[in-house]
Amino acid sequence: MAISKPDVLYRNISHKPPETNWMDVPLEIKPGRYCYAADPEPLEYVGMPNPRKWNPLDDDWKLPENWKETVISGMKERLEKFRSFKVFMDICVRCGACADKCHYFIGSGDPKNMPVLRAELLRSVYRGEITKAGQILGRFAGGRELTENVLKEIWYYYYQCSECRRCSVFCPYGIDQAEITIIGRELLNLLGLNIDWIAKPAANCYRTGNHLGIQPHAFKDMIDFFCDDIEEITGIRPEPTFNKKGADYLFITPSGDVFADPGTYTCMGYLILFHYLKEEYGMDITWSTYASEGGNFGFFTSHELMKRLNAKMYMEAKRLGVKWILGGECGHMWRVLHQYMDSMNGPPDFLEVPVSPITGTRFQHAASTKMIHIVEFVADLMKHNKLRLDKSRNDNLRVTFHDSCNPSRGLGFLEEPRYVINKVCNNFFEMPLETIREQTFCCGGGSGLNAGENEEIRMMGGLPRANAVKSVRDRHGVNMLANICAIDRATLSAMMAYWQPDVGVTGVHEMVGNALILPGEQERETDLRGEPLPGKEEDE
Amino acid sequence: MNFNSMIKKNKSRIINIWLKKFTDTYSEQSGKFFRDNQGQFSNPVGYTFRVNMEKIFDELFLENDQEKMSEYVDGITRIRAVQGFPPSVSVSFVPMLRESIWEVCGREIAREGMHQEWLELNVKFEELMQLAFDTYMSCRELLWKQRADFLHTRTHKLLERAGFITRAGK
Ligand code: SF4
Ligand code: SF4
Repeated sequence: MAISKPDVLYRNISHKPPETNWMDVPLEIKPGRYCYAADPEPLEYVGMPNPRKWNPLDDDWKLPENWKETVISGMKERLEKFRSFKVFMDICVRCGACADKCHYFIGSGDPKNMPVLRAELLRSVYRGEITKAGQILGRFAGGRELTENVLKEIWYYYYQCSECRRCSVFCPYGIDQAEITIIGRELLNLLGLNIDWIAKPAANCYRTGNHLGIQPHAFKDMIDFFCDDIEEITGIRPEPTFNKKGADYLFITPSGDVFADPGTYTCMGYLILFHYLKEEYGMDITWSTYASEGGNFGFFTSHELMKRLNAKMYMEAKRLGVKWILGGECGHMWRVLHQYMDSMNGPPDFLEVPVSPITGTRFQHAASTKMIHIVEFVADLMKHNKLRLDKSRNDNLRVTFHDSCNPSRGLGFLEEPRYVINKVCNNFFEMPLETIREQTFCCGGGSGLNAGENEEIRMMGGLPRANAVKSVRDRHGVNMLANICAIDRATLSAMMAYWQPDVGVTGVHEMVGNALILPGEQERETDLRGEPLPGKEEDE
Repeated sequence: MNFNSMIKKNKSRIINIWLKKFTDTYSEQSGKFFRDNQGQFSNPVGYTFRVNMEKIFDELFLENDQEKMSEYVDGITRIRAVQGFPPSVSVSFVPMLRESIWEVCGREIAREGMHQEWLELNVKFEELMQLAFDTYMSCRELLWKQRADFLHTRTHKLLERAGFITRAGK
């Protein structure tokens, strides 16, 4: 029959990929999924090995001659040094419980984005090159030789893991792919195989104190701009201090809050809050233009570089002679602080155990690190009714909360941000339980992957989160996605623009800044974004 | 039985075949995951595909409302547009629908001599294909725009606010 012809024709075109063992699936580095290679300059600046121009799409990655030996001896060294790495290399029973839990797999369907296979990329090398059984039995024991192609595959997929730890929640043994990725990237960095989006910010931070390399005067200028805006909106001009010796407390936030929307509005929230605390309670908080970065892209490179970048915080706190450090809304800063800071650079006996000068609450969990997060500090102020708030100013917002992987799954900040949000806004709606709290889905851009060139993998990785946002948008009319992480604010903004363009992104302290009533302020007409406040629309 | 009810009667079979064909464009394991996991939140790709496929199918035999149809086609195409497939494979769910219907109902269509109705339905598939291509292109354009804006908003705004750039006429 004539009309069946196109169908027959079409049937002959096969869209089906061939079925092959994962080890035999050839590596294809796809645009939109990989990040550009690190330039030599930032590597040179921080003294990382093998700085050179290279391109992941070229055959020749310009590896040092003894590259294989370097990786294998590097791996042996780390198996000795990091007990968790050794255990994670040995104990996986390939039960598959983690297989469909990674947002990158869920969104892309690429099997090598299954945590179990991601681990296997490196584990097969461990077996093939290091264990006795693997050396004898090879593939039968799941081992393989480390070849250039294998190395390239590890590079490609270890920069498609955001170190979010979601898989570890579902593994009966608690195998944490994030830890494996961290070591994997450290090995890659022995050969100069970093990505540009991590190497540059890390070098900038090492030199100038923040990711963008903004110099102190420009940093101060930016904060001054925010003060202008705040003065216009509230009639009150905050007077922040910079690098003030003898201040009581040092505040450090991700530089994204100072330089990228919508984080800038969160930054205005901090400024309003600190002004309030100074006026009402005499609390003296200073900003540093040198330790001007809460983030730590060294963490995405190597333990050693993480330590160097982190040290700046303590050094600055010591130089200024403050009592303790207050951290802004940041995700991975928090992981670095809680998991590593104390053993890397601490304990800082020149600081005091953080005690709120206003409520007297002693933050015992920070007794050793001497640094606390702004969201726990503010939740405590609110619990003691120390802030005057007008939550109706946020009535135009219907808010849901994205648990950032590090503060929530990593460190258990589950209640504090929700407590603060509920104190400053009337319309808060949770996303489904399987997508929040410990089970939260990554924004898709964590661990230094929020570059421009890998946008497609970020969109795929962001889909599970966007899909959960869609459900509360459809059901409750949610129009704002709140979070406490600067990478979230950048990544989720682009992600929402693609998947849910009618949902905006905000930091929690932007809403705090809107709700907080400054002593002597004028009647506000707009929120911190310059949009009319609820009920003020007609006056426009 | 008329043409439409004959096809509608076979809806669940057609949808299953359709989803199978479409998810076969992924590797075996992933296709299986997208098909079999029913979770709205644990498997957003598969869930969105299935829900929108059902809606497209229904709409085809209702008013064929363009606005609604766009929304359903968008649901599927927006996902495909970031998954690295060539454009034709991204929107291959449209010809696959035609193929699935033909596989299930072709014999009866031929036997009952419903060629005219089949041709009319094919016109709708063509419209659907155009819709899918337009949606695909708008998704890709948005991605490119975001990529271009990425650098612009990060560096330009910063320089502008720091007073290093002044606009002409200021
Ligand atoms: S840590 Fe996160 S990104 Fe990495 S494999 Fe596990 S779930 Fe995926
Ligand atoms: S859940 Fe744990 S043991 Fe099971 S496959 Fe994944 S990593 Fe291995």
